[in-house]
Amino acid sequence: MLNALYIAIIGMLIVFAALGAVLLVMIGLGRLFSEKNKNGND
Amino acid sequence: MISQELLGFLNITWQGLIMLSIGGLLLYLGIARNVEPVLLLPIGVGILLTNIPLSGMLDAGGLFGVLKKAGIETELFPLLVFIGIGAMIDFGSLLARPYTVLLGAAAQFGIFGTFMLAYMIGDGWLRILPLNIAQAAAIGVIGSADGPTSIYVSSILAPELLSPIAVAAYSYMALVPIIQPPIMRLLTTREERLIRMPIVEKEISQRMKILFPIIVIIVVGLIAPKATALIGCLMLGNLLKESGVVPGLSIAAENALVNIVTILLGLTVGGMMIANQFLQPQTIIVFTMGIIAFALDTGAGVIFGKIICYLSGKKINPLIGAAGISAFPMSARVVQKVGLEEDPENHLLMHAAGANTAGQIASVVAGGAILALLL
Repeated sequence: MLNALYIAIIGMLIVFAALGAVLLVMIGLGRLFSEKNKNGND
Repeated sequence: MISQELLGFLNITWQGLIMLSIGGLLLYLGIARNVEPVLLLPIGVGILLTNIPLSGMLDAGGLFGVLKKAGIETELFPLLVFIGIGAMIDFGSLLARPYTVLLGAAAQFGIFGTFMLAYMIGDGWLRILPLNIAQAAAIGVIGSADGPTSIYVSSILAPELLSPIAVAAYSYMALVPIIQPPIMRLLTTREERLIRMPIVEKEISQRMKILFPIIVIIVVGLIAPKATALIGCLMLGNLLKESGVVPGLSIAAENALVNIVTILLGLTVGGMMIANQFLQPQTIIVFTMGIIAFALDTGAGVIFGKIICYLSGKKINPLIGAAGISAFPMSARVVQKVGLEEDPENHLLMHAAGANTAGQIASVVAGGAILALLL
């Protein structure tokens, strides 16, 4: 049962880590392209 | 004299009759009631065909034996369906609201919660039923609310439970409008449900829409390698659409590919539901646990939504957390409906759609995580 608890906790951590990384990617892409748009318009 | 072997009806059993009835029921639900007909129709026919005595459909050289070997044991069918699903998804709502990605993550708690519950009643503690850890995990993945992921994971971890798991996953996805609203109302106050979220559409550049699937493949693949096949196929489909340079491939993925594979997948899943394997106590457990998984998904998503609501100074309606479940686009529409019931001017659909598409990615990661931790 402890093994199952370990799998559940680590599993959720992996999900949050992966989605957190995706979140950072989205924020990065958003800033990159909004800055480029601003520079392009200057 | 006619050989007995030629007369199927002399070999029918009561279990076979039950399965023929179940096949008929699924056909009724699909055709007369329009409940997920795309899946229930081929599954229903598959059940009828495989439970005709002496048909040999599931034998090694029979139709379902061949399809099972070619498409299920190789995990090919669910992966091909995912290409088509990826071509249908628009990640614009998610890209406009990056914070919703965390709601998608939180809603996957149902997978792990159900896994623990199933293992607890199985070999883990109470031993009420013989469920080993792999079977418990495969049952938990019903909570991904995603047919291809459920089939993919269960074909690896517990192929003997694949049929009931697939039928449970698709059936409960269709029942999301019934399962979710009571839980959403129970876990939120009226004040929270009335929180208005204005629709301010942020323009997402095409370049961003093209780079997103490419980067997600790399990022998710590096963190959860066992999810690479699923996320890769999903994002391939999306890239076919968003690139704009292969309209023929995109149209084919969204239409011909997904429809052809759905027919074969549904037929094969139904074809594997042979009486002596399907009518087992474990099948009832699978269906019971499936509904628990969906309920836990919804609860976890809404509770995380409440946390974000308070952290944001009550600017975010916690109802959108329920859309973190991967039942796309049904769950987003349910959130919209429940929100409109409280306030006819509060349109939550686009915000919920962000969480819903995030849930699609999160469910794939969760499936990959389960495989990585158990194999």
